[in-house]
Amino acid sequence: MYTLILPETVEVGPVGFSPDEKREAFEKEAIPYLDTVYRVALRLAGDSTQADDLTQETMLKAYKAWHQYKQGTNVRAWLLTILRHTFINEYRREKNRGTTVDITEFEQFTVFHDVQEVDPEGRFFDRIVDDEVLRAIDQLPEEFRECLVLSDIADLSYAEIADVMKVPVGTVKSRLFRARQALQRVLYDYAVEAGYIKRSVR
Amino acid sequence: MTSEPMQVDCKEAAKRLNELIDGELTPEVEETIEHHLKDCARCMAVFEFEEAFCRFVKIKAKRQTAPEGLKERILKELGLSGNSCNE
Repeated sequence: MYTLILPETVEVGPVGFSPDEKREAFEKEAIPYLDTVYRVALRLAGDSTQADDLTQETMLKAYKAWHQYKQGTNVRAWLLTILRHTFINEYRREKNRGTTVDITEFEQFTVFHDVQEVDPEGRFFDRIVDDEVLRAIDQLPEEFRECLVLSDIADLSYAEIADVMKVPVGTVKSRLFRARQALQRVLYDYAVEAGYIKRSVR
Repeated sequence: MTSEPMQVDCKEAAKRLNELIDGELTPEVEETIEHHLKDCARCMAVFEFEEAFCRFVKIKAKRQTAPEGLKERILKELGLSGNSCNE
């Protein structure tokens, strides 16, 4: 478990760690994941101004709490636990994030069945631009989006995602499965509308 | 000890494809599912489609980087040099 007891005041670092050593360790181990933290922040917060603030706050909190990071564990998972904690407590508002897809409406079937005759390898996906993919991810309901982002953007294992989200591994599995199916369906519909692939009649 | 791998049907294999793609199966179950895929062209085609889709999402969703100004602000705030910003 990634326990998180964030200090109210600035800690000077763990016993036996000089400020220079702390700086060096943080720079070497945590800073390389700044882009990952930012990408996840962007998908959680939904706008770039909030994502900037959330990323900055996460990295500053992580630095203050560096003595709590257990060496040898996944530093990405630890940073993202802080990010999620910060997002939920300080950033998440009941604001309108735009359209959210109703995930219960989606059939539990892979798009493969629709495209097997015309494009079984799913090459049409490659024609979809990055922004469209990110827009489709943003349409997923939060708990499904979080799972997908922690897996496919942050490359966390199911057990690590379960720890970050405080849910059982089985829940991670089913949410991730449904999130990917829904994303596939949204992007397939988009590709049909854009004329990248012809809709098949099943 | 050698033994025949456990058998699964298409329905069971389909349920496990995500876990296979994500490397989340135990070696025994992984072997069982891969054994099924080798014997079943249709399940193999679905697997390849799902795997390609996951790869596509990962690539597209990971292209953004934190703005330079933000990186500089964070490094400055922490008194760091910024020599290790790339993953």
